Amino acid sequence: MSDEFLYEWRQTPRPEFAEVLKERIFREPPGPPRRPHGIHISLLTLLLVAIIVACTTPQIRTPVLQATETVITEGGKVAGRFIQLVLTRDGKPAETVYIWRLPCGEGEQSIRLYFPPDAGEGPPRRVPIVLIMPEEQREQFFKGCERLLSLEISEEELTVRFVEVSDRRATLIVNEKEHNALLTWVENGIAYLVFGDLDQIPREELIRRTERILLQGGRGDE
Amino acid sequence: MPIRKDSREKGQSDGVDWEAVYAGYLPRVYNYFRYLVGVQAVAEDLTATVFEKAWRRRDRYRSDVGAFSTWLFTVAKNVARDYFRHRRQEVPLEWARSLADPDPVEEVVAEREERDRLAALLARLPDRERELIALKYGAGLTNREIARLSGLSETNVGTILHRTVQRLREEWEEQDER
Repeated sequence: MSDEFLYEWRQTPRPEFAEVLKERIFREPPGPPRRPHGIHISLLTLLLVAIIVACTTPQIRTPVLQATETVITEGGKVAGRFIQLVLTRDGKPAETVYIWRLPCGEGEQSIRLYFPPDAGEGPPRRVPIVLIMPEEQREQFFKGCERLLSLEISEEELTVRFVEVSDRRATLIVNEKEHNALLTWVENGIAYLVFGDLDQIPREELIRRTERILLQGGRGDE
Repeated sequence: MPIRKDSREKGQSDGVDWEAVYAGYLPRVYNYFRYLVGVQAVAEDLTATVFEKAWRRRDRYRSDVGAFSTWLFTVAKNVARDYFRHRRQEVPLEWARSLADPDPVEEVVAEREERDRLAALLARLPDRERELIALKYGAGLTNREIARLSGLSETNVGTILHRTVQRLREEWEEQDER
């Protein structure tokens, strides 16, 4: 058996199959292609480690038990900073806040990730976080950013739907495979992301809990 | 990535002539799946899925980032991955017949016999080797294109393909000697 035999095993697709498929595919009229849910999916890859603080929100002014900052470099340049704050309530760890800062133009753009206390221990190391928002918002938000860590992902693993969170139009992304969920919305130029481990917190509870946080702290009004 | 306004003509996006793409790539994608799954009906289903997805997502292809073949076969690889993830426990009937019946009845023509034999041999290959064979001989990609798709080095692709073809040849000859 030679290489040629392997090539010769090729077949021409059945004409009827080719014709029917072609008709089905090109049935869609010309014009802008359909965008599923009108959104753009990107992945931000996160790495954790150590040091300092930046306290700018009312919540962050609450006692901070632990604060760490990780500077991520690529090719000798700062690609982003990742800040982890463990907040306290009554002297006990109550909530973890993550802030992801990207160098954009002259300054930085912040993405804040809130983790409800019982949503697990936050994002496991080296697991990508999905940032999802309408493309026009995304382009505005990341205007001037040097780069955005971005990767196409299989849509089959995600279910996406729009939800209302305290009158804010948010997007709930559920990764059925990893069994976690991300609730995200953009407000006043800041992307808010709430992560939930669905083994510990049901998706509807994630929304309700986020609403309570917003009502109590007014973070989304900053 | 938005489609360029000047390329929103029928069947075109980002300078891609989809009519030509369909005509040129349909046999290659179809044969990629034939070598991978060994069953015509399944290969047709998966091929249809690839072209439907590629057409729906045609705005995501960027000609300045990579070759169209790389983009399209990345879609095909994802479709194959999903197929095997969900169907891993099912044995296609044609494979089962090939594996279970090494001595087909006399009226089966020689060509069909050889086809089944090759399908059975391919089915026994490890996933990575079968994938590379499908990309090389089914899709007709070069070792360099396969390297880009698989993340392996071009040299590594060549080495694995050489060994795999050698293995197929040996097993084929062993069956001939029986």
